Amino acid sequence: MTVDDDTARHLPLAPRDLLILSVLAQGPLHGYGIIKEVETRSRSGVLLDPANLYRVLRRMRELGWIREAEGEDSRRRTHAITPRGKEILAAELARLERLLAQARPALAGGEGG
Amino acid sequence: MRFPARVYRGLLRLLLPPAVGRRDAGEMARTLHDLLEDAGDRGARIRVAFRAFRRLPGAVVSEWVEQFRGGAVPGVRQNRTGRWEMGEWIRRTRQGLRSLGRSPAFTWSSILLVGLGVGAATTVFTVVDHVLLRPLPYPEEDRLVYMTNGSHPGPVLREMETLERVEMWTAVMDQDGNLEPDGGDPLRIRQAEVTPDFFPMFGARPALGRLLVESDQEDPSLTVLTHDAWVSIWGADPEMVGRTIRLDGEPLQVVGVLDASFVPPETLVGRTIHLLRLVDWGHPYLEEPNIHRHSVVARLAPGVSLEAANQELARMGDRLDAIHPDMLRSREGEIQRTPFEPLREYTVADASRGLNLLLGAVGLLLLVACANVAHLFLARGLTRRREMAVRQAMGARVGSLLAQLSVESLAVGVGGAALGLLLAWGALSGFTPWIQSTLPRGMAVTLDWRVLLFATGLAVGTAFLFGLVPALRTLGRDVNQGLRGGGRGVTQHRGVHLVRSGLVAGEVALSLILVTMSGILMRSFLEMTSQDPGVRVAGTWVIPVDFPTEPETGEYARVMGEIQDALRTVPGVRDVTFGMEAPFEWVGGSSCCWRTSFWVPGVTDEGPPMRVHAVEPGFLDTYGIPLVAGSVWPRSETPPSPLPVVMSEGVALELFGAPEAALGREARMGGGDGTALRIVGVAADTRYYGLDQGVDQALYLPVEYLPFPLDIGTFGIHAPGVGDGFAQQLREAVWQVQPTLPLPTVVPLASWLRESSASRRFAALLLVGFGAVALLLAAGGLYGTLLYAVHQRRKELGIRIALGAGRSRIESEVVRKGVALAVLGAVVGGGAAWGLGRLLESLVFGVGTQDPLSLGVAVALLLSTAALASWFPARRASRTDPLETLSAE
Repeated sequence: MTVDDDTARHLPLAPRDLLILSVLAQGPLHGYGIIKEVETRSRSGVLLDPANLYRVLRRMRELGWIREAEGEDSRRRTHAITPRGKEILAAELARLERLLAQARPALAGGEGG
Repeated sequence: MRFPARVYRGLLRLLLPPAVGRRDAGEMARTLHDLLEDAGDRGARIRVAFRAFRRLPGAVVSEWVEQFRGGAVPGVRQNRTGRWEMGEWIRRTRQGLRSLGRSPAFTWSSILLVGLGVGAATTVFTVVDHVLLRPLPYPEEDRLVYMTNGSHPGPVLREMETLERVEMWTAVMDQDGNLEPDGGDPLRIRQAEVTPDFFPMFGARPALGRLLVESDQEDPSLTVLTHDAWVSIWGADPEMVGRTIRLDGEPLQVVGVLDASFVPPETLVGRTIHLLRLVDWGHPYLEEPNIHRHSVVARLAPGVSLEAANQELARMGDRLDAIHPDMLRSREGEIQRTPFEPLREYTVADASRGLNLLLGAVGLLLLVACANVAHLFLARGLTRRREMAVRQAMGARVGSLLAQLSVESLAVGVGGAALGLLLAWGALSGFTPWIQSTLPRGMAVTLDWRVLLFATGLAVGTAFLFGLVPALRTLGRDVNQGLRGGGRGVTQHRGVHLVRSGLVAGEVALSLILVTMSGILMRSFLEMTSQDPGVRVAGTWVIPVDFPTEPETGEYARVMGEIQDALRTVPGVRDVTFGMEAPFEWVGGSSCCWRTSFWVPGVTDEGPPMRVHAVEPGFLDTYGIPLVAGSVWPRSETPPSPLPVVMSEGVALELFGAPEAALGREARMGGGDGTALRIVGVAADTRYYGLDQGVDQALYLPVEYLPFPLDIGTFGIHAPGVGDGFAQQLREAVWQVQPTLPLPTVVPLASWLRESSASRRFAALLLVGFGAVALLLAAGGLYGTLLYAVHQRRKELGIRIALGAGRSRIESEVVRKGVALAVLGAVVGGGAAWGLGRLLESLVFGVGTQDPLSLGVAVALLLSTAALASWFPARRASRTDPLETLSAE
């Protein structure tokens, strides 16, 4: 997939950003939910704290990757991914796949593809 | 909410940037609460809380950093480790430079302005730094003090050892000498007679051989050469030590050569010194309480204050006074105190006033240039408002635009700094000869890294303060406002216009101060040069001479007469005379000259202080000084007694009422029992010691009857209308009879006169230059501001013209506005100039420091310039085509 300049600028994504986007890609969540999901997925490799999480969320919001959405709980803000965010996520995943495609055979000892 | 979460919230609210805290702190705390609730046991809760609090400081710092950078902007990216991308700043720099490149007029004008201002300021600062601010290059220089009142007699010197508060002291005397190098013409050199402590006190080190020490005082023929002398006269001969050289007919043995790093203390020995010898304590002069030859410099003991040292010195004076009653007493009978003064202050005192004035003037000029830089940036900022608004609408944060503008200001600042340094280097190189000859410590003035730092800081600071800050006003907070460009944008324009008008008024005020001051200095210079010297200057030449060996008393007159006759044979010479010195040879009159008191029994016990001129009978005639009564003494074989003298008119009138009344009167010189005199003539007043020195109170007496031996003199030659090569003819004539006499100076008297007013002329011209530049800049600022205002209001003007308003009325309106602005500035500036005039006090001559004429002329000049500068915008305004402006929107 061809990636335009504007998208490519943001790659590679920090692991934390990647995880947050992929979690939100599955559906909107509030802060606590995001932390728990990320913990589960990264098998506790990446641990977020509330202050930093919200800073990152805000940054992603300003970049247009996520937005605030209506949630069941009015006291807690819910965050949802945007089409733009999905684009970014897709681009990053594609990049990782390409990387894997090159790296795996090298590891197996054969010539790179 | 759980307690830790509440604490978390409180901390966040306190520490985060207000906007962020307000919005997100609650949410962050609620999330922590949820996490704590979710945690299984106490241990897990502690872990969760610990993690949250541990990362809180980092999060807060990151928030503030992002706030400062204007938030997350496309392109400002923190990579994994959170560092900025340098690539972003490079991009921004390129963008900024390109933007500057697109408006060359703005870019070059602002660089030029910054460069001029910074260049001038840097030049002056360098000089001031080297002359006034830097410590003297000697060890413990802050403890070095100079004993005031010029030179001191032998008995005082001998007593110096008793001072306990003084750690070290030295006596110094400098004089000329005639060197006879092997082969070649005799060379006039400068020698210094010092005590052994001179060398350690002034940080002298030997490059060859050794220094002179205490034990060398047995043998006064030992000498040490300075490095320059060794190189220039003896070609850096490596075998110099141990050689014998001949000075004034005496053989001297060289024991060492000083290192090149030695800097002679110039107030004591002048700038150029060739060799040093030790004081010969056996010399009869040092026994005489009335012969003052040596200057004294001392180093205070550590921790001793100047007052304490001066108290001890005063006590020493009292002790000496008891032994030598007349030595230290003034004419009024009081003991004359000669307190210590810090050496550095003494060295730079004369220059400091002028230099400080210069620093002030250049500072004013810099401010005016800065105001114009502000004008330029403001105008540019306004034209880019739309561009900025569009970019803001597209998501650029204010911070990013700020960064962009910063880059542009920085570029202008750096460019201005480079230009300024170039100009400063050029100015310093060009002025070096003048600096070295006129200012103390002038030898050392060069550009160095401190100056570089100063200039760059100044330029960048100027560009930021006067460029960026005003332009910030044009970055609207309301993006819509910027996009629309009209409507409430007018308010902003008006605000900016007010700022610009204020700047113009300020510039006018500053220029007025400079122009007024330059007027006062100019008038001082003109007043000075319009004074009647009282001496015939045109067609007069002078030759100072200094004999290698002191002639016997009778011999002096004979030898000088011989030279006089020889000079008379040169074609074109009408007459030749000589005296101990010539008019204008010593200008200023503070540290020279033979002074005496004049006692007329029956008229005054304590006459006015007079200056004595020992001259040959034809002196007054050859120099064109008319006699108003009586005559000059006749030539006589035997010394007459009382000694015949001619006095100057002013004093004669004061003492005797009329010149004729002075004739035949008897008087005494130097005390009630001093030399007996009889007044035989009265001469017209002259300004012997400089045109700005006031009238000389002179006593002319016969040089041939002086009671002490002379080895110096100056010939005066009246030779109107001679051509090139005259100086050489004169030299050759003298060498006919005195082949070994060095004659370094053979010049027209007019050149000495010109030199005496040189620094006044320079100061006046410099200030005039500054004033002119400031005036031009102010006019430029006014022009730009008015032009812009006219442009902004073109719609209104178009309507008015369409409705029939007279064009000349519109013109005069604009001009009036411009002149009104100038008047405002003139009022402020005039008041300041009036008040600040005091600063010129020590530099004026014949003019008051609050000179209405200078101020009036300056104001007139300023207002007419303002009118002229308003003229073009006025015409533009009246030429507005209503069709064009009305259909444009």
